[in-house]
Amino acid sequence: MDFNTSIGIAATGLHAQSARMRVIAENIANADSTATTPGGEPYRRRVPTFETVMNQELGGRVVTMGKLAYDQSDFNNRYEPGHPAADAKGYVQYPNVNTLIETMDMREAQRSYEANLNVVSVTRQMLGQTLDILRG
Amino acid sequence: MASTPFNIATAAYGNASRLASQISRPEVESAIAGVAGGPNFAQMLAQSVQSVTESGRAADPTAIATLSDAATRMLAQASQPGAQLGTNPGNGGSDFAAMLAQSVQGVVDQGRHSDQMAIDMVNGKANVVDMVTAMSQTEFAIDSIVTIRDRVIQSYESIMSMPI
Repeated sequence: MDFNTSIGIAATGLHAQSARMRVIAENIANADSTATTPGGEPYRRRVPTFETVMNQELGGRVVTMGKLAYDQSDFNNRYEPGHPAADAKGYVQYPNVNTLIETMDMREAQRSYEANLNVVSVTRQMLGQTLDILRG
Repeated sequence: MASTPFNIATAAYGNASRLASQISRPEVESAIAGVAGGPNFAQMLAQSVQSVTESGRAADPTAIATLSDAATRMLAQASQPGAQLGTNPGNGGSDFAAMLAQSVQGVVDQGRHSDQMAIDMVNGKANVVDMVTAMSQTEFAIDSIVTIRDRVIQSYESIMSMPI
């Protein structure tokens, strides 16, 4: 039934956004994860991607979490000569995670999740109202 | 949401049992003692969570029984008009019962599915989204079948009360 399909598709949206939240949580939690030896790489920010997949069982195109890409931008350099990962000049490479950007991404994930939840609740409403005709 | 406390309780159970298994380590023991006055706390917590899970499992068969009971009642009610209006045999009466039986079976299956989801949820295996969608689908399946049943019985009653 179309209504069940819509609820199922919205549920995949919910799944995708919760997976995105997981990636954002990883990024924020590792915002200060540096290497422990000189020359080692710190944590590299990960970027979630989403893709459309045809779901035969549901009979609709659903969203799913694609490959987790690595953010190729430069690491942040900070002057900390006493740090175990400091190079010869005293600089330490910090992850290319910007907490502000992550916060914005998080807000976006939240809004998107809300939108999908709204699809579920409106679909339920429509179904309920249709059934109400019979109850008359 | 009612499921969230279960989730927390399951996580707490996992933590408690992990702590309880590491009880020989003195620092863990002292940490527990500092928090709750002794290692019995972990045991108590584990036991209480276990009992919640047990009661959830125990409640499940009755839920299924209730569903099946409702289904058989619906079927009995549906076959009644066919039996009493038996003047035109083979004219849709048994087909309708079969159709109803099929849809009731579908509802029961869906109910079992969402019950299984709820049990998995309590055991910390299922996803909240999956459980909620399964539950709402079951809810609507039951809702629609009950509405149709009410409608059928209403029609039957109005036919029966028709003056001849």
